[in-house]
Amino acid sequence: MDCEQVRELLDAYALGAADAPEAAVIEGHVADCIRCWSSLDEAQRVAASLALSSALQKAPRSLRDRVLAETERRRPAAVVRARTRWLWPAATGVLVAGAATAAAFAVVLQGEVNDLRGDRDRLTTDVQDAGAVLDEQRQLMAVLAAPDASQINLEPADAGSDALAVYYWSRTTGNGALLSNNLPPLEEGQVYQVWLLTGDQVYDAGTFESWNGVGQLSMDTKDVPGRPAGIGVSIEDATGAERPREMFLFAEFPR
Amino acid sequence: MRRLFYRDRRAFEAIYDRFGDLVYSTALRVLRDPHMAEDISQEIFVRLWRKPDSYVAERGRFLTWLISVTRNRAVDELRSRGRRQRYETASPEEQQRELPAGNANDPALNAQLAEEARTVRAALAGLPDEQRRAIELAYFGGLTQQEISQRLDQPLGTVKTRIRLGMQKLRAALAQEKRPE
Repeated sequence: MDCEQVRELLDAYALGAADAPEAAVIEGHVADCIRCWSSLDEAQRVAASLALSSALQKAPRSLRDRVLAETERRRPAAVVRARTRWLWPAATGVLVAGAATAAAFAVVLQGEVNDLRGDRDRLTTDVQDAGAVLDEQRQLMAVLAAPDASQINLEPADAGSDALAVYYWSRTTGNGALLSNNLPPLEEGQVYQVWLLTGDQVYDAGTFESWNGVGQLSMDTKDVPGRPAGIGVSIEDATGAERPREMFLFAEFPR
Repeated sequence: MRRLFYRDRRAFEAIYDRFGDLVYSTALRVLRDPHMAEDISQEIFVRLWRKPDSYVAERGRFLTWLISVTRNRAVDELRSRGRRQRYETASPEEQQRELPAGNANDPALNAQLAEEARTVRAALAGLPDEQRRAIELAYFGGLTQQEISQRLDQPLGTVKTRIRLGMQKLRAALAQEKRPE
């Protein structure tokens, strides 16, 4: 089935009304096609909005109590804290060895301490790296979870290109996020740069790199003067450019 | 969601307070049974607590995901209990009722939901009855297009067309609300 045929079925699928064989075809297709995935995302958003057509019923207070009691019962430990607790008692065990054997243990202890320092440094680096990734993900989630999150598909300037991107934004939070796929490869010292266009002005929204052609950028658009009329992506030097050379992905916002 | 990922109970409570009524209302609209709706709502939130990574941000916004998993779980329950009797849509009086303010500590969200609810209701009300009914039978009644065709005694192609046209109109109505500032 090609994209056009799949898109004919997406509304029914989003409503949960597609028959099983159709559903299987759609799921297989959107797993590899970001355009149809994006169309399905939009259809699912429309379908989910139907839930708002019902009068909102107040959930019983007992439900809140039950849910919170259940979460208290199933509270797991945090991974990082658990590891920290394990490391230091091990060191303490070495430190309390008798004075008579202190000299014999000195080399072992020094090695243990060095290992622990190495572990700590690696752990610190890991946590910092994870923190940076989570910060990026947190910003992305903030956009996607916003009640007024909107989206638009960016189209490649070159009809032969497979590059794709979806831009999400929230008017209330002023945040935006770009998710992209099939990006053209970068040369050494290059980055992708995102631009918001307001009238005859271009606003540098940030740079990002890709992994296997997939990349994303979260951005704060509160300082962008006026309403953006369009968004584009170009390839620039790693230092970033003041104006785009040539945008290979672009979308115009609806008026 | 990041705080939820670290099992921050206050973050989880905040999410419940924001979306609890909506999850319960969605389950209730499908199941038409307050006790079953409570059970499903509890299951949804406990699952979210235990597996916050089941929501993948790249797949769409949180509200859409939460409503979808609630609706799908409620429909599964409906099917498993063989309770797919004749589905009745909400009464006009019910549909006219305003979305209550809900949790007062998040006025921006409530205002946004209320505005979106008004838009959806207006868009649904603007659909021809046959298109609206086909869509509601699918979404809230948990029926496939084939089953809707049998229920309404209409050709399958007609049902598919009604759903497609109705969803196109809803999409257009909702899109008019969105433009970045």
